[in-house]
Amino acid sequence: MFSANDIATLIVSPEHVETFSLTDWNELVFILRKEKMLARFYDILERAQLATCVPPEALRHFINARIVSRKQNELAKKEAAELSRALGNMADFVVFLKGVAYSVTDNAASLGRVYSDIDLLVPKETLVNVEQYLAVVGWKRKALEDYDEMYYRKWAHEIPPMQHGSRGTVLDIHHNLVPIISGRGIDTRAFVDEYSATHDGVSVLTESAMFFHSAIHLLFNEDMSSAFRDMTDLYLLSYSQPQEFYLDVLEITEKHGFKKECILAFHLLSIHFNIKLPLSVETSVNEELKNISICELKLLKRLTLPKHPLLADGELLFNQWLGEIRGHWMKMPLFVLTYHITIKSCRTIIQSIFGKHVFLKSDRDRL
Amino acid sequence: MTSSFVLDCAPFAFNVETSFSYVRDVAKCIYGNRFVESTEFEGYVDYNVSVLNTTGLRRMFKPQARFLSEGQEPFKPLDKSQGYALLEWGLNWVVATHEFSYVIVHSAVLAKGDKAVILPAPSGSGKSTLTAYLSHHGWRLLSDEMALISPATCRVTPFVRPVCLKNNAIELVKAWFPDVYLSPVAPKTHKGDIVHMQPSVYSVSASQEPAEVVGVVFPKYDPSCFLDIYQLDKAACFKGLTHNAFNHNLMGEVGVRTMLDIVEKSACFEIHYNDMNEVSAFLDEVVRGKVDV
Repeated sequence: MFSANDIATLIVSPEHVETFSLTDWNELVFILRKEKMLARFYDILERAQLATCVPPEALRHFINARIVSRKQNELAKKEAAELSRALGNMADFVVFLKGVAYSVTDNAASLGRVYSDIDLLVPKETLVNVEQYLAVVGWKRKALEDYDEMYYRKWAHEIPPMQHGSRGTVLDIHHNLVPIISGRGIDTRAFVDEYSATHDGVSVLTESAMFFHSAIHLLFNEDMSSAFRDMTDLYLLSYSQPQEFYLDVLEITEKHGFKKECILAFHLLSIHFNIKLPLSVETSVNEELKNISICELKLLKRLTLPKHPLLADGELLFNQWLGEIRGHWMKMPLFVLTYHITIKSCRTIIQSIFGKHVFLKSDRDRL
Repeated sequence: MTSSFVLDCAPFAFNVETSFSYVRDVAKCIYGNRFVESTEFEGYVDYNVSVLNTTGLRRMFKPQARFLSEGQEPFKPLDKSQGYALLEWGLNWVVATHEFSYVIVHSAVLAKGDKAVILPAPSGSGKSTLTAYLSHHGWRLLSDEMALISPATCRVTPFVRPVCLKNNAIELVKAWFPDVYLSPVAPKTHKGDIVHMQPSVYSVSASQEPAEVVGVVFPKYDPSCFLDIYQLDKAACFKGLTHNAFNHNLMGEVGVRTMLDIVEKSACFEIHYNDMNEVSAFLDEVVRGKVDV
């Protein structure tokens, strides 16, 4: 039986697979599939010339995941190019974020990356035009519960997701990196002006700004379900970088905040993946860690590793719930949080009586 | 309280966890010796799925079955009485969304020896009734729902699972084959009343033997036609095949090429029929290469 740490160790030292039994492989495939890491891990094995260790029973699942990942990468590039052309005249900037940006630049974090949506950042004042234009060219709003719709519109840093009518691609259109209601929204325009670059006609963030955003997305967030995958994004973005990279990240935090999140990211990289930080950065990290509670550190350390019932440490549902509270706490002022939690828990109670799906419209036809 | 069992159903093995004892009992009858207690199974499990009671107090007064697969829930819950059907549809979903080692076409597959005919058709065309009939009249069932075609070949791998029968077909099949096990009726699903019929012993015993596709036949039940046969041109056949394909676009070039190859090398027909013996005789000519391509 694996521990969560064993899985993290495999990312850095994949040679441990050489001694795996078929049962080990079977468990590993289940754990990695849940963490959306099958394709990425197979690429890691291949890079370390260990792909031949994979028994045929497990190999099929790695190859399946690779096919999906490669296709998504290819499609994401096409969608990004097309959206850049279509929206170019409408907004001063259209910057692609996260997975799609990794694919567009073919950087280290594009390795076996899978993702369910395309994230882009546009100026807030152009949102209405962008949304209307996309509706004309075939993108539709996804159906949401009414409360969630209100949440997006009023408090979030993005509008409700849109989905392409025939291709099925999902778009998340952001106007900030974090929810406005958190009071910690960045000056998007200044950030984009300084930290974006164009790649084959598609705008993306510079690598240090990608790291900055990825750290915020992971650690200033309530949903930790893909946290291990996101942690490996940070690892791939940073492991071969020179010292200046880390200093650049810290420089961004001087201007736009989120120093705590970036420091935490550095710390977690050093404990999960043995990343060697430059001495000056290590000093800053140690200094900053003194202001972070041991409980919070422990929680994050655990939630950024795999979570699966097959692991010795289990699925950690209670910890995930704590992580959710932590994320909401950071994002919302107390009065909004109280309101949000009241509404959400009322709905949870109603769901516990009438079933989990009571707020969704019926769609028996989907089967 | 839940229990788990493995459906060792080549080319995949599914571990199924369920809170409904009837789902377990039906699976045991339908899968026979391919039903193995999880604790006794020693092979490789490809997918974990579960059919569980819905959450909350609802389970007390209106129990519902939920299908889950490794944290994903593709369908809304259904009434408890539809739990077994939900499992079978769920397994189809798992394979159709995760497997890219095969080009998958929504169709029935029947064979004689190592020569197979695939019968792609939408719901309501009478495909499953025809499949049920033929699989007890000299034909080997490879699948009622999906043709698993190895990329860049015409080889179809058996995935022998029960045949899903709807509405009027249920009584018909009961009358034809009184000894064959049928699951209890799942009433009022989105497809109407449905049952799952156990595959024939012969089909199960040959379930490790692939076959070569030599015919693509689009069937349509029509009470007014004895048997009308229309030869399809390759373009129309390709269009019909892609219309029923699950994953060829995701597989890219090799997916499309495989479908083209199948169409190029197969006899392609559309048939309208009301007599299944005639269909059987016609398909027999197709697999023996007695029809002009």
